[in-house]
Amino acid sequence: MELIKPFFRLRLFWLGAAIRLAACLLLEPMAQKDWFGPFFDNWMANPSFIPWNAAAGLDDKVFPYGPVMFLSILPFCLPGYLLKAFGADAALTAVRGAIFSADLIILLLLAHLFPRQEKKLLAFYWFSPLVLLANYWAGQLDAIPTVWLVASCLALRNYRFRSAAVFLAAASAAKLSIAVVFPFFLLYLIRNRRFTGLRLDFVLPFLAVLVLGLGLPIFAESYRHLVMGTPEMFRLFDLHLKLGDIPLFLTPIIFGCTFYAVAQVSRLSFDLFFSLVGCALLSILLTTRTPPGWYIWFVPFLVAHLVRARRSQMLPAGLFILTASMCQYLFWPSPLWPGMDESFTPETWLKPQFISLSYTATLFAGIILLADTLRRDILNNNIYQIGKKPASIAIAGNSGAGKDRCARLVADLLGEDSVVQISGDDYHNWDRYGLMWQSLTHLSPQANQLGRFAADVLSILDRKRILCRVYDHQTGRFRQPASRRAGDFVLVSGLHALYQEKLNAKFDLKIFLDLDERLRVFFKCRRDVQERGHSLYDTLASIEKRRPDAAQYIAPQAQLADIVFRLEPLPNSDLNDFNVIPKFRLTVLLRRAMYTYSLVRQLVVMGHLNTQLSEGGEIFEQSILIEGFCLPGQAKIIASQLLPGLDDILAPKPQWRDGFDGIIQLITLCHLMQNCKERL
Amino acid sequence: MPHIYDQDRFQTEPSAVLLDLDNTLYPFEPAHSAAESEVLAMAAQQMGLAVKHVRAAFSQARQDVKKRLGPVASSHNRLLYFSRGIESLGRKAQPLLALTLEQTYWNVFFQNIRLFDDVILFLTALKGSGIPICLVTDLTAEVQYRKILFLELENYFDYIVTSEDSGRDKPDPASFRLALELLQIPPERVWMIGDNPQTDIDGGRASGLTTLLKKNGPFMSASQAHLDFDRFADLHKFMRDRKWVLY
Repeated sequence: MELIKPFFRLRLFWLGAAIRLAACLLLEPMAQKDWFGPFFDNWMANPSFIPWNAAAGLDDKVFPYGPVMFLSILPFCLPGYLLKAFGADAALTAVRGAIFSADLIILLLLAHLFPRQEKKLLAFYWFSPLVLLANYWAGQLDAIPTVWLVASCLALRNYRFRSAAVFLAAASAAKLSIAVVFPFFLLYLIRNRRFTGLRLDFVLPFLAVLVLGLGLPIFAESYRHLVMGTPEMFRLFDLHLKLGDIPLFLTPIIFGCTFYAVAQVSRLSFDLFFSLVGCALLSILLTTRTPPGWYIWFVPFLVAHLVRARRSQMLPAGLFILTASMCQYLFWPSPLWPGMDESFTPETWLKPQFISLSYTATLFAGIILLADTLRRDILNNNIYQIGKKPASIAIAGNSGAGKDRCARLVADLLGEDSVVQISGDDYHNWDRYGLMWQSLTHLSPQANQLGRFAADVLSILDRKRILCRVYDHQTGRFRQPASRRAGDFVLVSGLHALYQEKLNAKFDLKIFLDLDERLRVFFKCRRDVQERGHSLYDTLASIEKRRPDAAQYIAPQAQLADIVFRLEPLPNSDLNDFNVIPKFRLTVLLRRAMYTYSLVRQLVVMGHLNTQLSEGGEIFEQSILIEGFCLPGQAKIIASQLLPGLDDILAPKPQWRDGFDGIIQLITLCHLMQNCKERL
Repeated sequence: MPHIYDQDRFQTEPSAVLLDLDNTLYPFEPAHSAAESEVLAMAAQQMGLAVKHVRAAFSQARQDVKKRLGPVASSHNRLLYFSRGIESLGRKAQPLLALTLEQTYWNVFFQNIRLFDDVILFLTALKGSGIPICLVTDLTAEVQYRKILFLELENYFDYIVTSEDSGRDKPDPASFRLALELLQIPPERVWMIGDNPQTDIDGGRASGLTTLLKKNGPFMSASQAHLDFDRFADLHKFMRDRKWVLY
């Protein structure tokens, strides 16, 4: 209801509705007069649980649809029946009511998919000649399965997989041909590692409803005859070449190629999926001699293309709409006008050459549209670019600086299933009991297999599996090597994560964690003295022993990072009492960030944080000092403001943290998205 | 096009423009209703009550607060509505819940706020033509400043007057008087643009300003405005045609 309100304010909406109502009242399309009307007349005269029986004695084409189509029209039979008293034709009223409602529902679903685009939706959907022709001129029922199809896409976008499955199955059970898009739905789930655990949620309900909707009625003889015997599906074999005297069918080949191309994309975002389904449907439309109704399926995808399109892209789409409508107008018999006796088909007075020309024009415009969609919507898509190579984040910092915690924060957002982690700890030369630790510290590059580390990172970035040891922090031993498969995101953390220059060039985002030394000592002493029972003297001595190495090998990596997060205690904090955790503030040093000013604005306005921005010492450097407490959920809200399209990257249920953790998550994402876009 | 009711007032360009914020520069209703329904759902869930009871309590609390405080900025403070509402539902004082509800309200509000079309072009033209702009708005300064920052409008206004600052809500002359004092100009050629026939228009008239009504929807009641307009683009064109703005 909230969504339809904005339309009420627009005059064009009412104009479109008036045109539709007038068409419903005045035009008598052939399909309704000869097929659906008599069919529903028969059914209303002899209601039966097997509706297809009503086709007895009628043409074969009267109702070649599944049970969902019938059920979707059924609710409109009652008002049709009631209006009969006022001289209306009950069956036709029901059918037209259903078409009009489906038309309106598609508009609302599109408003859900494209919020705040009311005017564009009116222009591209409500006044699309394709829609008006198919629904009211040709009077076809395809708007009904299209409702289910679009609803399914919408549910899929909102991660409601079960609903998506049920809706898609309903669409297929309304009109079998719609099932051609099912492989793309499946691919979307497979090509998103973040949905790993949720795939069966989709597949099982889909199959269940499909069996129920398409399988059960098979026992009815009239269904077998009417629905399964429909020649519609054979349209897929219209276009063929001759290989000797064997026909080669082109439509399945083209469809299969589209599917293969989609299967090559390693990560599909919803937008990408939507564009690709559109392309697949378009390729079918272009290679078959389809009735106008089929165009309705494609219209929502065309609208998606147009809503995002730049002005220069309107031309191919407009040309396609024009030529396709022309074709449909020529192809399909015109409806009866009031006071007209015979339906007249333009084919009777237009030369066949003209029809052939208009098909040629449609094919031409369609191919341009297809190329344009591929080029602009797909190849330029962020996720498509990210999907080509995993996005990688490197996190370096001294021991105890919170590298694992930071990696955890990022993984919580991106989802366990999409992330593969490589930890520098697994590449220490020796386990905790190695004797070499007497002369070397872990901080020394010589105590680590950095070459192997680099090779493994490169392999993972190349989407290859790696085999690596796992360091067990409990026992201090290495566990048996485990195989790790590639993910969409690679998180590399370690003391030396930014130590190798050539490797740094491969990372999309480089983070250095710089815990204030006083705080680091505080936390280390607190842990070792209180939890592990070491003496304070020994702990301090071991920290002291590592200090030169930290200064020589670890600290310089901060110079190479895109982001340095520095946590420091508030001035006047007492760091001597291990029982009281001091309050911190966060300083973020950003290099080459383009989002800084909007981020600071959001932190102040939405985050209620005390934020100071200063331009850094070097060029391209800025530093933000943040004090205060970020409320739970605030980081998420700021992210949705700053980063449109974020949902495609994050896990279905991202775990946002509060406090500074949330801010670290936010800034990491901002910089990652920025740097990934630079790949374009 | 703008409809002029008093030609004499529009012989020359304005010496300054006073602007209302809420529902003049952006539509208030969508943002408010989204925020309100979120808050009601949250409050109902936290207190284990039906939404309609919470709604009734909050709206009663709002009336009470407004009645008690009269036309001052704090009478718009949602924190007060929420805490009084929670108390009236028998939950005593719940500062954490009230504060959370308030935060949520503004969070959702901000997320649903969009400027009217062409507001930026209009403000840029005024600014670029050297016409001073002062925001004159009822409500507390903090919330209004946040809105201005969020909408990225902070560079357009020469002064910002809130009723927290002036002491009384419009139509009381206090805010208009303060704005004119800050601008240091007499009221005759100053425009007041607002959406509310009572507070902005009648109030502005009483202070001697030239009043322009921003109509939201075709069925706005007749008012005493010197001019009314539907879209900022229309007003902008009106000024451009008379060469009152440079572009």
